[in-house]
Amino acid sequence: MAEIAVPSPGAEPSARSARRSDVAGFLRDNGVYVALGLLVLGNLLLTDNFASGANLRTQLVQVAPVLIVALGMTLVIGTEGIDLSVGSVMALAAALIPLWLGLGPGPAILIALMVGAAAGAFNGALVAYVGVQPIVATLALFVAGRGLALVLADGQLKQIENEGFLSLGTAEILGVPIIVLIAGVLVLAVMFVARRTTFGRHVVAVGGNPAASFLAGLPVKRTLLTVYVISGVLAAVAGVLATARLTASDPSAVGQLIELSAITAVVVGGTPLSGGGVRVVGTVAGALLVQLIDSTLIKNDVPDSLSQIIQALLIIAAVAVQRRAGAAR
Amino acid sequence: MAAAALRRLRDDGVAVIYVSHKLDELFVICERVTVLRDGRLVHTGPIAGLNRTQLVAHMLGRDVAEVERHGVTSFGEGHEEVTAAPVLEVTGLTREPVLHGVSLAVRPGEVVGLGGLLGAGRSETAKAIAGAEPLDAGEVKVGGRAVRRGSPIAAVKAGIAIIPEDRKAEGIIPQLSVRDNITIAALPRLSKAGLVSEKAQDELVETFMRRLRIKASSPDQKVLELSGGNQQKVLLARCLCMSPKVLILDEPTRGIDVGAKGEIQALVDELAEQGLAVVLISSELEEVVEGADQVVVLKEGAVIDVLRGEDVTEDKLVGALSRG
Repeated sequence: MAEIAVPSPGAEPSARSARRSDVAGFLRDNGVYVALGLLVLGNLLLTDNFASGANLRTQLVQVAPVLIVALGMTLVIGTEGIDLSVGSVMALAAALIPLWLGLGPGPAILIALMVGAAAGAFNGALVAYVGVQPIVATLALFVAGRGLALVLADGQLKQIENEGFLSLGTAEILGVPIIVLIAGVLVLAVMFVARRTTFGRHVVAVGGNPAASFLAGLPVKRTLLTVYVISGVLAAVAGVLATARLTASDPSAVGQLIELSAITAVVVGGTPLSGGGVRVVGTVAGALLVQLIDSTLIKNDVPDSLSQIIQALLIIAAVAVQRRAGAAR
Repeated sequence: MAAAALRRLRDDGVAVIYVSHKLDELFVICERVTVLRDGRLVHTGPIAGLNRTQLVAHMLGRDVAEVERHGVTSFGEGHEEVTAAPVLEVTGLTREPVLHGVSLAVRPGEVVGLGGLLGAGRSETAKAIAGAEPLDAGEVKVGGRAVRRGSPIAAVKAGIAIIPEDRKAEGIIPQLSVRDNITIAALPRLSKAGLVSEKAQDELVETFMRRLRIKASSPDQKVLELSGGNQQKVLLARCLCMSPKVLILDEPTRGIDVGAKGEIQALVDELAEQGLAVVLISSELEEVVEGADQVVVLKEGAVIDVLRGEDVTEDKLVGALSRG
């Protein structure tokens, strides 16, 4: 055995590990929960019937599509990517439903999800194999996806009367709307994938340092492809559910600006835009925060445009906090 | 340059505290030296009274005699004559315009150094062996079996692990924990059906943190918060928990303090004794010469000389470099 210099046992870790006490770090890790708590508290005091079961249901049903899209976005952003095409993929899914409902709700939904997967694979292939920047790669479908959806639907809103399909938007199990249940199950599934699977580890490694991941023999390209496919499928799920709730296929309006809400939810939830981290619970809180801000503003008759401005401000605040916390090291 | 500027500042009456692990700089720039080890002051006094060996001995906490016996690096004597068949066989690696038919072979338990000046193609050779460099021609075999070209995934599967030259850019994944950095390449063997076994993972991490004396507050600490030497040990742990047959070290001790440097050198020695085949690249001649059993000398992307046995000396290496 060769000798190895023995460090004295008194060698304790640097004081840096205690740096979590700094304000920016705390806000980055917990800001979304604090903000959500304050907003809930404010609403409890000021808004009539806020604590009612009916209101809770409405809020959760409304947030479900955004949350589902945001789950996929969380994984994409974990790889230091972005998916702008989610709203258009929702529109594609919405446009496909009435075209295939003749086969029954099951096959129609399956086709919509498969097209979502194909759209994601297109994005992912551009990013992983062609090397296009994510923002540019997904911009293509952001533009073309909704166009295609409108062509498929002849540019028209179509009422849907298939009872089986519509029950997705109305049915409940033990008093919980199916839409909310689906969103909940997907949250748990994505949490599980992020924490416990090799794929989840690969996502943060590739996002944290693609060159190092490549040298360490990780399947970098496959990982990138997969996150975009997941994002595409989840966007299609959101499109299907939104269509069922609306009782109509409306490809011109469904999912408009949802990428903004989803990205806000993810970033506010503490997943760094610079990749290398995935915070699914943060995303859930972020989505709830966006939803509550929206509904609070609507109840107080504040126009939609202002609510969008507030979302933008939220993103800026969250990114500023992330940068501050990063620089504090 | 820097030294002269500092001297001018000194003459103007500025007090200068110069922090460095580059010993040569200390001797050029400083008048007094203070050595800290593990957060404690172990020596302070005029630098004129010290020689390099004494200074290193203070930093390592070892006897001067021991440092002299072992040389400035912590590599042991040469390894015993290795007679087994080569585990790594590299033939005719070519990538225009940087590599021209580089060939080498490493037996189990052997440390083969790559000598050469900056830009001689050492790192390119290392990366090509690890599958991370596109090649025009050439073959890499591990244990007699050809490894698919241009794929780090295939190289890792075949048992080739690499610690890259640029630790920050290509080595550590800064925001991830020490644990995740160590296990990231070993996930296939830590998981079943894509699910990571946290128990197996934690055991592996604990074993390697102890064995390599990685100083971190916990396995959860982010790797970017560690010192350079500990980051390098994390990368070494990442390589070792893949149970490699071939370990490629590109500048493994660059930019880290003398203590960690010695530990890493000693560890490389130990690993070679246990039968690992090692390819070692270092810009420090003494590290290559004391660490390697054989030195393949590169110039402009081609092998110009191979030093073996008695010929592995700094003089011979410098001679080969200047001749070529």
